[in-house]
Amino acid sequence: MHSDLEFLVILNDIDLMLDDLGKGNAEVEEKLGFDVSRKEKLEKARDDMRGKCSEAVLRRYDRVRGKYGKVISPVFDGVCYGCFQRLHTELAQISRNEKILSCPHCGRFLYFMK
Amino acid sequence: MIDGDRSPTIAPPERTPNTLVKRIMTEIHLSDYLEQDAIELDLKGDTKQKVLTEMVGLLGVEAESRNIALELVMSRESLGSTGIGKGIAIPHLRSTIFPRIMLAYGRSSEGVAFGSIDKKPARHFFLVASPPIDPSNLYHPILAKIVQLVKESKNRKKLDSIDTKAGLLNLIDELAG
Repeated sequence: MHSDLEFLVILNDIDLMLDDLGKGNAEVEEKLGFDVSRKEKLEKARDDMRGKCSEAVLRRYDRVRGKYGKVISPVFDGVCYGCFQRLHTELAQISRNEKILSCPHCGRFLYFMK
Repeated sequence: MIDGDRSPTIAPPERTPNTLVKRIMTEIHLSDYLEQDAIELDLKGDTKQKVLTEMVGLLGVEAESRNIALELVMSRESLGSTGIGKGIAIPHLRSTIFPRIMLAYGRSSEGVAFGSIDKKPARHFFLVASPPIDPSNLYHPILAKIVQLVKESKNRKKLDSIDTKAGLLNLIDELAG
C-alpha cells in the first residue's frame, strides 16, 4: 500500500473519531464505562499523522475534507462508496492502493477493498 | 358511526427511547459478528500493544491493513483506556478498512496492564471494529451489549471456564445471542 494512503486513512479515521466525540459519542462511551478524558492526546495523534503526510497530499486532503467529512472512500466492485458512481474500467484496474487515486466524480481518495 | 361510539382500538406499541433500546438490544446477536477464527483463548502478549497487535490479527484483515487498524486502536486508547474494570477490556475502532462490523475475542491467562478504571490487569478482550459510517447503526448497541454481558460476575466466570473456541461461541450465543 502507498504509505501516504495508509497515513491518509488513519488521519481521516482519527478526524472522524474527533468529530464523533463532539456529536455526543463521548457521552455515550462514558455511560458505557469507557474513558474518553484525554481528547488532547487524540488530537496529538492526529497532528502526528498529519506530520507524516506530504504537503501536496495534505492540501488535497484538507480541500476534500472541507467539502465532505469523510475523505477516504472505499471501493467495492469498481464503485466509489462515497458517491456511488461506477469508476471507469481503467481506474478500477490500476494496481490497487499502490497509488493515491481520487474518484473522478466526487474527488474523495479511493481505498480499494479486497 | 353512531355519535359516541368507540370502536375497539389496539393500543399502539409504546415507542419510548427505552423500549427502542430494549428492542435493539434483544435483536442484536453478538455471535453474528464473531467468527471462530477471531477467537484466541491464550493470548501471549504481556503488554497492551502486544495484546492489541494479536487482537487486530484475529480480525482477518489484509496484512497491509493491519498497521492501520493497530494505529487506530492505539489512537483510541490514547483518548482513554477501554479497560472497564473487572478484568475486561473492550478496545474498539472505526475505519474505512472494515467493510462491516467485526468482533474478536481474546483471553490472557496472566492478564495485562491496560490502564483499566480499577487499575487491575485485563484478561478478557473484546475487540469491536466497524466502518466509520455503519448504515445499521449498531456500533454503540454492540458495545453496550458486550458491556451488559460482562457486567455480571457469573458471566465472567463462565468466560473463564471455557476451553474451546466452539464452546466460547456457544456461550456467547447462550448469554448474548
